[in-house]
Amino acid sequence: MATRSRTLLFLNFRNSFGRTGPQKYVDASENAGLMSNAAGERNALPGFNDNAGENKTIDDATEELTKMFQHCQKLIKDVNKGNSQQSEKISVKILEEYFLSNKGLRKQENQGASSNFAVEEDEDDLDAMAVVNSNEQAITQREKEINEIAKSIMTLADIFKELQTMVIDQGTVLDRIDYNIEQTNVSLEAAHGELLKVFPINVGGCFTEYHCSKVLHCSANCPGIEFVSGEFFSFSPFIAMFRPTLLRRIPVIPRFRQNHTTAHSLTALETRWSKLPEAEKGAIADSLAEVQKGDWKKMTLEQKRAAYYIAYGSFGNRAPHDPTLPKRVAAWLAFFLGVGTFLWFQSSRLLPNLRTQTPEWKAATEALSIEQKQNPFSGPYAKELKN
Amino acid sequence: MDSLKAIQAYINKMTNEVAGMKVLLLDQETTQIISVVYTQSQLLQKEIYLIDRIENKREQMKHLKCIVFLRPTLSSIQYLLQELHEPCFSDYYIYFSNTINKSSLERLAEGDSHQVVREVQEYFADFIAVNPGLVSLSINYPIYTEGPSTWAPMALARAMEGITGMLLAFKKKPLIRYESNSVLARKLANEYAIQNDGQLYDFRKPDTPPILVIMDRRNDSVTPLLSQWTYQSMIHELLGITNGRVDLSKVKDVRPEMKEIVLNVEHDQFFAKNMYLNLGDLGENIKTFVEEFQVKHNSTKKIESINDMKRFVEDYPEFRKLSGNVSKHVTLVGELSKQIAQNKLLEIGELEQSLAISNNHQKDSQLIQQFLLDPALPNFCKLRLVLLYALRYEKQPNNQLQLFQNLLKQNGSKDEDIKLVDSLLQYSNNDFRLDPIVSNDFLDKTKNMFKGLQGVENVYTQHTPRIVNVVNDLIKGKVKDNQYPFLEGSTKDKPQDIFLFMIGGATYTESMEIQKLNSTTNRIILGGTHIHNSETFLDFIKTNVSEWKEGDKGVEGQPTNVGVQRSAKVF
Repeated sequence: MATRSRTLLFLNFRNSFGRTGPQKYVDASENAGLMSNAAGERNALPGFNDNAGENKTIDDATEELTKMFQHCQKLIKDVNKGNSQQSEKISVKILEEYFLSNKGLRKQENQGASSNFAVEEDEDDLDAMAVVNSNEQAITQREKEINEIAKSIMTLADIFKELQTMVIDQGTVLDRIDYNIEQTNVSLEAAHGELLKVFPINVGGCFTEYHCSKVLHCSANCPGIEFVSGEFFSFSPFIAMFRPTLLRRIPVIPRFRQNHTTAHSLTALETRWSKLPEAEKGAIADSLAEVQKGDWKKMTLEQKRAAYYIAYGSFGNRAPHDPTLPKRVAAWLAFFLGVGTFLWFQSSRLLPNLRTQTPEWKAATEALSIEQKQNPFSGPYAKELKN
Repeated sequence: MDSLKAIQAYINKMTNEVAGMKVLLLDQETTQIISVVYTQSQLLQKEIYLIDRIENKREQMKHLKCIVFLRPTLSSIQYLLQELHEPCFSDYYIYFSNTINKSSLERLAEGDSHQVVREVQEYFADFIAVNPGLVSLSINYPIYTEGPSTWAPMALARAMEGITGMLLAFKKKPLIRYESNSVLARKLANEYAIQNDGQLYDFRKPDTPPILVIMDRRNDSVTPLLSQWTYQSMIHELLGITNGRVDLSKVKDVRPEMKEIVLNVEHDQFFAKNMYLNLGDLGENIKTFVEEFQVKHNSTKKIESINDMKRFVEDYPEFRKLSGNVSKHVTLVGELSKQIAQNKLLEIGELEQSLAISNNHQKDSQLIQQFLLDPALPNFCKLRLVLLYALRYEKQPNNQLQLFQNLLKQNGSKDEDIKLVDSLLQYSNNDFRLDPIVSNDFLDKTKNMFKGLQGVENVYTQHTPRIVNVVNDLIKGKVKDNQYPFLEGSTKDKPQDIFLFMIGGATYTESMEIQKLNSTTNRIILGGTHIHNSETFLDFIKTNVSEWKEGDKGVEGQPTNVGVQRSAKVF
């Protein structure tokens, strides 16, 4: 397994371009990220070998989540209980009324009988009621327990179901790198298609939530992400990490399409060439150079035209001279000259009362130049010398 | 020497060197290289959370590091420059799968204005490891231009790099031999010698020097045309394998999860065990495999106690994997046997073997005529028979090639298919081949006669590919110098490590035969520009030979006459 490092040579080259050596600075966010994600990463890895003891943080988080869920469940139960309590109250009321009316009837029936007897009968009725009540309580208790058991069995079934989805299909095409890359591309194309549909609807506006979710749905269709998102709760930061990138990728998609080598269109290259981005120019030129290595007879007319244009076409230094250029230069020159002369003649009017233009100032300047013996050939001092 | 392990070792090394969360960027060819030996979940274990093609646009994720694994081609470097111009990740660790020249490196250094590159390495994982002993370059463009003695420059460069990768991955500096009649083989050997000045090959010298033999498919066109009977080659022949993936979407009534399946020697124990077995043994093995699975299936059915549940949860992933595997192979074998029955491949196979090994013109031509008139047979099978006949009885004075071609036409074969007969004879005619398909040597004839008396083990696998004889001779040190000249130096030693490179593509059958010859003393790696089945081989002939000029026979004259030509470099 031979390898060769080219790093030193690369650094030499890089330094020769007038840059200092690599500035290795510690990215604070990187460290922070490492700390917080260390637990999550481990859990993100597929497999059953995860050692639960190592991931206390995850356990804590899961526990908290479970507690919250339980709390929710309790609240829901309370709501139910409230309902049932109300109905119980009503039923008790009905029972009481029933007994009362019963009593009333009996009283009517036993008119004339001794009051003592009537009281005894009343007590009997009350005893029966107590027995019925306690039985009812036991039954509800029992029912509750049975429900509890049924519920836990249901959760167990859910766990088993989840287990099935959690198992990564090792050895199937879902675990292939190239397949996943292809699928991402396919999904992105689909997302792009959706976007094209959306664009005419909200030109310049924000995407509605519906469309965003549609795009997200498309992106999530690629199995790589799907099987990642099938993991535990604690994996959600990772989804959060990649999801936004998928969303943010959207405006870039048209560029992404252009960058496929095969997708470069060569039609009417002459007219578009100067406006193309540098990178695409390079890619087109490279692809054409590659084609020209083969048989030139196999090149299409379009390719030949494009190749000729890139090699000898009139752009850059070879761009033809603009015939209007001398005229334009002359026109601008005349314009500035005109403005200049106009300003020159108007200067006395535009700049009145300059102190250096007064006769006193001029006389003083002359006197100073004679005194300092300036310019003995043509200045005022020369006149002084002649005299 | 295991080519899968070699590539894995490179990838392990590059993923282990970079700590923390990573992104992996690949180009089209490195995606293939990596996909064959590594899976997505294995990369996840190495903390690689995003795998993307270099040409795609990405959003900035500065908290991630980036491993870039590319072939040093012009377009890949161009894309890398674009990436470095607007880096999306914090650090870049760049690995090239072959030597990168200084000017490209300088361009990269110039483009790295943000100083994000931390590492530039050459890791020679530059071939697709198909089987442990089989390596492919999967060249999907023509390898010839104009005639049989000119390489297409791109293909020449790729082949040269493939050989470089193969040798450097195993740290071998071999003596090079090539087939004397092939211009392409000699040119490739020369190109390799020019490009590799030995600076990289500073290894400990073994006792006996390794040998690299550059061979040409033109010397043996029979092998890729025959019907195949071992599991892997049968799948490739009837369904087609591309980089370990088999597309079953055209198969009737296939379950949705079986539309595309993966055959991987490492993750699929059953395949690893049976890939070299023939149809009969395979049928038995798959029966026991299914029975074993049924026992397991029944044991997982009853879950009565907590212990049962625990056991179920523990065993479930394994069980799930097994069940997927069983249905995969049952689907495959079912489809294979369906096609064999439908196309009468067994009868055709028998005739093909007779064409390839015996000298029985009268009987063979009668049988071919029968098959040609059978309306139930697909045209492709008929064409293959005629092609084999053409190769075998090209020099037979009263051969019936013209009649057969007419019959093909009457049965609705396309003109371009019938033209293949001429193209194939142009590609691999009797005058060109180093040795005849059936040996005329007296010794060999008697040997064959004795074999015939003993009775053959399997009627369908009597033909052995030519490569087997060559390797056997190599191992015994009996290869003739005039047929396989050395590029430089020479040795009379029996080599231990042998590299074979087949210009024009190897086959899975050859790989199987080579695997049999592999032993502790002889380690052999077979490489090829393609991995052929009969269909891809004929496509290859179609795209390459149709452009050949009449006069150029592509037969090598005296090697000394031809100066060393340095062909156009790709970079």
